[in-house]
Amino acid sequence: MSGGPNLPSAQIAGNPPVGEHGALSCGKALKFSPEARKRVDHLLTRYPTKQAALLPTLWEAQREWGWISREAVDHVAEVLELAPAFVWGVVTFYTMYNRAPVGKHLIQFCTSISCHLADAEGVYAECRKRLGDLKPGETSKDGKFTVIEVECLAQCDKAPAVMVNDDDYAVITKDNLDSFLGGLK
Amino acid sequence: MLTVNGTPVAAQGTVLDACRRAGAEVPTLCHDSRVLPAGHCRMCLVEVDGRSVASCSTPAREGTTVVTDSDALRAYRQDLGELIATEATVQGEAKETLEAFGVTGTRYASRPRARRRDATHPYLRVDLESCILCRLCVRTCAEVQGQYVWAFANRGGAVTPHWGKGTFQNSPCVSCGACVAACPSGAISDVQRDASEDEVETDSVRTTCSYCGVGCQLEVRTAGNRVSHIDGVASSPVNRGHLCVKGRYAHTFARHPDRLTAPLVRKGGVLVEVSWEEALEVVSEGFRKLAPHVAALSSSRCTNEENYLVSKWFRGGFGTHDVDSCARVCHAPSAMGMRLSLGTGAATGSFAGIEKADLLFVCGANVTEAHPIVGARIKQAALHGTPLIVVDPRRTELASMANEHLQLRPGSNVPLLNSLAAVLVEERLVNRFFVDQRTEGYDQLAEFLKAFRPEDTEALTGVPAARVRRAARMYAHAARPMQVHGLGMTEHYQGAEGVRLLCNLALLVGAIGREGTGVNPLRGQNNVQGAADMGCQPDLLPGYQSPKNPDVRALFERVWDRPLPTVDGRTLPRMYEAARRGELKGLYILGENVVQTDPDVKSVLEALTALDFLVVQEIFLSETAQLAHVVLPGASFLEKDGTFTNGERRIQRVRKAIEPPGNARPDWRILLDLMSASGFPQTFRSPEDVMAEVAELVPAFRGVSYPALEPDGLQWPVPSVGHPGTPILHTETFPIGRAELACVPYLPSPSFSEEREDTLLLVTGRILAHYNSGSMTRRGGNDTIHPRDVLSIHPDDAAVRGILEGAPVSVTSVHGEARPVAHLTPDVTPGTLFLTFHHPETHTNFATSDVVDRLTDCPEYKLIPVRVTRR
Ligand code: SF4
Ligand code: SF4
Ligand code: FES
Ligand code: FES
Repeated sequence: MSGGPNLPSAQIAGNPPVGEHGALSCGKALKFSPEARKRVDHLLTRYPTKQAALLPTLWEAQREWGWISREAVDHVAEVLELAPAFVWGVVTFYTMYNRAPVGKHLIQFCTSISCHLADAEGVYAECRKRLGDLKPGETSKDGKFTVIEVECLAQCDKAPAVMVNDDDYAVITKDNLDSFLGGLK
Repeated sequence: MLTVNGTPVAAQGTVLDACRRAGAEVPTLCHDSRVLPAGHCRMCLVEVDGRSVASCSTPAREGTTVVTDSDALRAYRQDLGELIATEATVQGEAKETLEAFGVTGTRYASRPRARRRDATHPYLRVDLESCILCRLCVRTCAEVQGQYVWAFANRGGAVTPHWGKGTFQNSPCVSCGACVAACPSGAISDVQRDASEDEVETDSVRTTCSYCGVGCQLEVRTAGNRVSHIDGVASSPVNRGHLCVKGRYAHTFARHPDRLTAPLVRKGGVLVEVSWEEALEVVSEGFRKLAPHVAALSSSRCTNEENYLVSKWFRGGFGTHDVDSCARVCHAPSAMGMRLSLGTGAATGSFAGIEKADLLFVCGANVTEAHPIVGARIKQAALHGTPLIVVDPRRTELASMANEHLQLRPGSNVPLLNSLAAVLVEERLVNRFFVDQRTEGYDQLAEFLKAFRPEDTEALTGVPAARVRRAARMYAHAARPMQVHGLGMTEHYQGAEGVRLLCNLALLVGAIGREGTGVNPLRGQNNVQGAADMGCQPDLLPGYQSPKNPDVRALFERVWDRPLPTVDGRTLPRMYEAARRGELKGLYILGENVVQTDPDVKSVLEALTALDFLVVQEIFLSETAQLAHVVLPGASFLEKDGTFTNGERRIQRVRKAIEPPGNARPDWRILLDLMSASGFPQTFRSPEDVMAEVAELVPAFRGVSYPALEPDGLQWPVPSVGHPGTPILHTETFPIGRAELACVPYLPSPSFSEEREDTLLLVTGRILAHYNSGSMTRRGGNDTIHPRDVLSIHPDDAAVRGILEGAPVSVTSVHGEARPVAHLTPDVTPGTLFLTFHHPETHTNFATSDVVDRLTDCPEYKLIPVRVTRR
């Protein structure tokens, strides 16, 4: 599973300006692909009510479209017979649903204690610099990379730890940063 | 027992309840008795045995000691208040609460955040800068209305209520106003109330809403001689403080410039203003000359007392039984069908049964739109797991929540309901004990139903047999199945007979005479029940007493001091016929706009224009009033006293909140003046006196008097003075001894003969924002919510005809043409259409037919073969 912005809400890229509240639009109506829909239907058999399947259904949506847009909210709400406002409430309660488009590779730097001691912040900053002076949460021009900071990834023995989409990477330092980035196609 | 500040009180409910019972004041910001306690705000902290707890969400315990005021509590409240004030510009009730408890100012740097605002809605204004995050909006919208418009978004410091994308006007809000009434901070506010802020509210009057047969209790607040805003009465068993968009907001019509303010008499072809003396003279002379060839159409929108006076005036004063009311065009079949089967033509149970039932069976009723408060209660029951069966050709809101939606073809009620009964018999699901003890005709019925196996009727009804069987089993297995039905049952060729089939179902499983069961017609207009109770139907005197019964006759002739006519009276459709033939010459219409609401308008117009003398008593110059020789300016329900009787037989007070405009007068007063002018003077000086005479004449009203109706009304029968009323009928026996199980053969409606290759079946009805001809609801903000009549048509039917969303269409039957715009929706099945009749320019009832119920002459509004084309 991919991680998501884990910043104070005002800093999250794509978090709409306070006062607007409503998901960003992706510009077109969305509908689960037949395969995704099949997975969702299967999910529904495992929960007592449709509402109970909201979190995993949102994961399906994020897997399908990369982020949770207004249209994704509408579609999930329709599938689960919930109010879109309720779905958006749940999306915004959790930090790992992306509320704006992210790059092909969502690079998540752990900055919790072990990684912090191993200069994770420094590597994090360096990484953003090399990708074109990206701000936290920003996506590179070519749409390939988004770099964010997250809490402990449970790889404290391999600090500084990084996760890219659903995959773990161990001991990413300023020295091996280039080869790490080069490996992400 | 426990003690609150030293006062002993019973340990019931929450600590907060106990404090309030003990008269101790506790500040609350997130508490509302209509929703579950949530404990969000912590303002209601008290000390229980020395520990601070949130009183709203802590159960009261035996033997505890509660203290509601101490230095520690005061300091705590002050701190909380200051924290709230750093983030919100607190307004309204919350501000008052804080101030009342001495919580003011803040020592912290204030950091109010920019928050969402919205002023697009005609009734609700949102300014979340004042929001104190009590979540009452989310909780009331979910737990009272069941609409789920509000939710909370974000977390931590950014948390905020929200309604999703777009403007509030475009949210799924149904404008019930529950969240406005609940929001303590002014973040959600009432536009009307905000507008009248500078006026001091001078008075508050409790009365009964006039927008449907639910009979919600209103607290009408007035400023000077106008309504400033309306709240629900929290203690009322009918609505428990809840209201809908009509009851809460649609009162601005009362001060609309279109109101009639002086009597009008037609002179040289035009209606001119005259004095009351002249108008009364013209009316009484006009009718006196034509009597007994005169008739009255009374109004289900008017009070019991007014309906009684109309009945008395025409029968006693002009010697005619030609007295009918608009109940004819809605629930006359329920009254008749239930009277034949059970002995009483009224709901057998109470709305309170909704929460007691373990299955709800909704038949031909779009409850969440036409009876919104009962609808909200049914919705809550369903959300809490009560199984729901809905029988409706449309996918209504309740149908979309139902466990079984039997989406039948219009006009196939009889075969479908017979099939449900057939399954009960065939699968031995019948309550034999009840059937043997309390009913008659089981053996014939069992035999008769053999021809109605669901597999045999499937083709007719369009409902798969398996679903019919499933629904029948659900109904039979429930311990307390409760039925509610609406005009989808009654407004048919076999309307009354269809209602008898509903009775059959209840009788077969013994679901009658107990709480949470029964057959319950949802009365359309506010006083349909009352108009019928008061004898505004040709064949029955007040209290459903037959003029053919010599004892009844003698009683009425003695009390009225007039002979009763001996010739049978005519129902409304027969009156029209008689008028067209020239046999009926004069007609008095009280508060009905028949030119818009009655079917087959062309022939209604012919009848009305053939009359020598037409008098219309109205509040607006309606399409009907424009044809009259005399128009009398009456009063709206806000401007007079009396009583209405709701769909659960509850007689409730109507009280004057404001004065009628100009020279308009309360209708009861006009009627009394007309009666004396036409030589039948009455001694009544108030509606209360009229009710006293009703109590004398009608056994079921014997114990009814205005003092006895305090505070929440009484459900008839009230057979003696001091009787508490009867929430549930038929508990031991039926008035006719044993109930009758009816064998009803299916007789296809003559309307079907108008079906052609390219016709679709039109069903007409109403929607939430409007009331009937719309003369009241179109004059106010509700018109912004629903500005025109739309035709619901299935996308497939639309595609074939090249009709796009929003396109103007023409809907033509053999009777005439209606001109709505199209709305493409899969909520109707292919072949079926739905159209409302709230806007005169739509001409909906030009297309409806002259086919009527076989037993009661109630028009068949629900089945009209029509062609739909682009205009
Ligand atoms: S908008 Fe009103 S009701 Fe809703 S949370 Fe804020 S203060 Fe409470
Ligand atoms: S007015 Fe009623 S439906 Fe609309 S948001 Fe408020 S509670 Fe919900
Ligand atoms: S501290 Fe970085 S993975 Fe645990
Ligand atoms: S009223 Fe008790 S916590 Fe808000």
